[in-house]
Amino acid sequence: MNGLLLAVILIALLILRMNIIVILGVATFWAYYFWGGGEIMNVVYDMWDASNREVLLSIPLYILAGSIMSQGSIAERLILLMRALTKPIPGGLAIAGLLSCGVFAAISGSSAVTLLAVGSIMYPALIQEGYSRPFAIGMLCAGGTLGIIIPPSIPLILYGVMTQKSIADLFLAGTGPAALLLIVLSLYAMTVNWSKRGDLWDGAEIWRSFTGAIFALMTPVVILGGIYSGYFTPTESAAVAVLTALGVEIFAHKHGVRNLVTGRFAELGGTFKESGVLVWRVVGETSTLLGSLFPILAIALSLNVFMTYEQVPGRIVEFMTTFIDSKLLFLLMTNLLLLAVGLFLDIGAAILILSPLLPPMAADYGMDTIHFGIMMIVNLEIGYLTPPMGLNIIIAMGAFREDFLTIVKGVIPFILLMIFCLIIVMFVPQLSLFLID
Amino acid sequence: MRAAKAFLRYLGIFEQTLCFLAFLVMAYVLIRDVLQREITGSGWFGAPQYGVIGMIIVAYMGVALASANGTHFRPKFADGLLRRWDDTANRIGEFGFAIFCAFMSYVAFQVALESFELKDVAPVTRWPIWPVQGVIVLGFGLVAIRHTLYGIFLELRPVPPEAVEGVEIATDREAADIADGVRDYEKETRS
Repeated sequence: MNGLLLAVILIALLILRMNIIVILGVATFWAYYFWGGGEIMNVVYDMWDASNREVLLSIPLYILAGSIMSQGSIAERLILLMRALTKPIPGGLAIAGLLSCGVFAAISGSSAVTLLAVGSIMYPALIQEGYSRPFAIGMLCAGGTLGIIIPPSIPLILYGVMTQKSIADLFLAGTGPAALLLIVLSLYAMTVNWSKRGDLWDGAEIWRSFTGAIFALMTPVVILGGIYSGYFTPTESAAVAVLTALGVEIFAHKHGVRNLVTGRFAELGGTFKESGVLVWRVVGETSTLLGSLFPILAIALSLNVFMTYEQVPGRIVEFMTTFIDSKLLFLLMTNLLLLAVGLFLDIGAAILILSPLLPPMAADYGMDTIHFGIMMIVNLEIGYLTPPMGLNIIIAMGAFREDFLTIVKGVIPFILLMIFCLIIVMFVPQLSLFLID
Repeated sequence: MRAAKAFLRYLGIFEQTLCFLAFLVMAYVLIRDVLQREITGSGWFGAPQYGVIGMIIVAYMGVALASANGTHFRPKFADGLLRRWDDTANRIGEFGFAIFCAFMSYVAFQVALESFELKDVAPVTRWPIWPVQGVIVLGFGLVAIRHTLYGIFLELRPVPPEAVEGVEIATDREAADIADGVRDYEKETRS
């Protein structure tokens, strides 16, 4: 009876335009009050325990590093290099865009940051080179989604926190599917733009653009290399990412070193002042994002503690196995559920809500939970391109001033390609696990 | 309404300043820990714990900042059901959030009080934890005040930038473009 009443209340809250924190919070307080001996203070104790974790420190720092880099000239330099490298290939500029998205995602860890930073430069260039508007915008929207699967990725960190899995392992597992997505999308870009190719490679141009982008290229090497060589933990690597981002922008790209050596202190002071204003702004923005994500994370973890204590996932698994008797059917149902959830929920919220429930079921069907997590994120990634919550569609409509239909028309082939990749990720676990011991 | 608007503006500056300082502490201790380890061979003892304290302050004061910027996540697919009573529904949404946050703040206060009475301390740093737990009380309390005012004066609510991530990294111009995009998008999906 209490369960039924809770369901009615939650639906009412949804209709009454309540935030996810309220919906999740009411469910958690209700669970503790009616089924947890009335100990509602445990909700805050659990939230406190959830917040008091070192591993979470990496989230705000990666967001901050990504924000600093997206305001600087890293994206532009990467694009110049990728453009020089892909010039004679059919659809070269589009492939350059996808590769730039991939490398930039490996630095920023965010899909929207990637779409805006790369797209704002690439979109006008693609149109100027004669690429169709729907293709160009669809490609950039799809390329932008790579930010959540290419490490370091905030959704992967959230999944790791919720399921107690190694974040370094999740990062490693994300690289195979990310490479698959990049290859498939690039092949498509090449096929549909076969007639569009530029001049032959120009060694001088490649060298010039390579030296211009060297610091940008070194950033993912430092961040990811540090983690996998065991030199940094993921949290420490996030701190290094912030330091690298500031260092690259101030000293390398804004010629801070040159100004220091040549004694142009006024210019150096100007750079520092400019960077200070930038840091004030991006810290405010990062805190805002953290403030919308963190309470949901803490409440979701509290609900997770309650459910684990009450053995809810185990009971759900038991219940589900009476209906779903094969792994194939489970995978099919789960992916349909995730695609549906991706239509309506932000990926962060979706991971926080579903991670306590789905991975134990996947484990029961013999799936590796790291592989399952990667599949879940590749699936939810598609939600960035599907209305009504498609974040990249919304950003593209605003930032590139294109109408809804053009964008939807543009993203459809890419959604189909991503579903194709999802199927491969689903049925070939080695693609995710080959780098993990 | 003018007084409420001014109050919310000063509140926003206070929240952002607190977040900024806590963020600097968090980033500083972690970066110093890594650098110190590289230079002297041993890191800064307890650095991650100090960093966590900074993060908790940022996160729970960030809840208030997210309210100020209208970036809390909200499922919108059921909005159409009350389209005819938009203002009333929005008002209920604001007051509902305010009541929830006030309740959260109250429960968090009880927890902080208990920690104070039991003299609970954090591991490693051995600092009392009630002041940090107090940030949860403050964060949710400020959100409750803010949303009560939004409920009374609907015009004070920030324009919700749907693309949270996008807007937070976008320049002002891009943010304005995105806000336009959101409006176009809503129009399209509604039609």
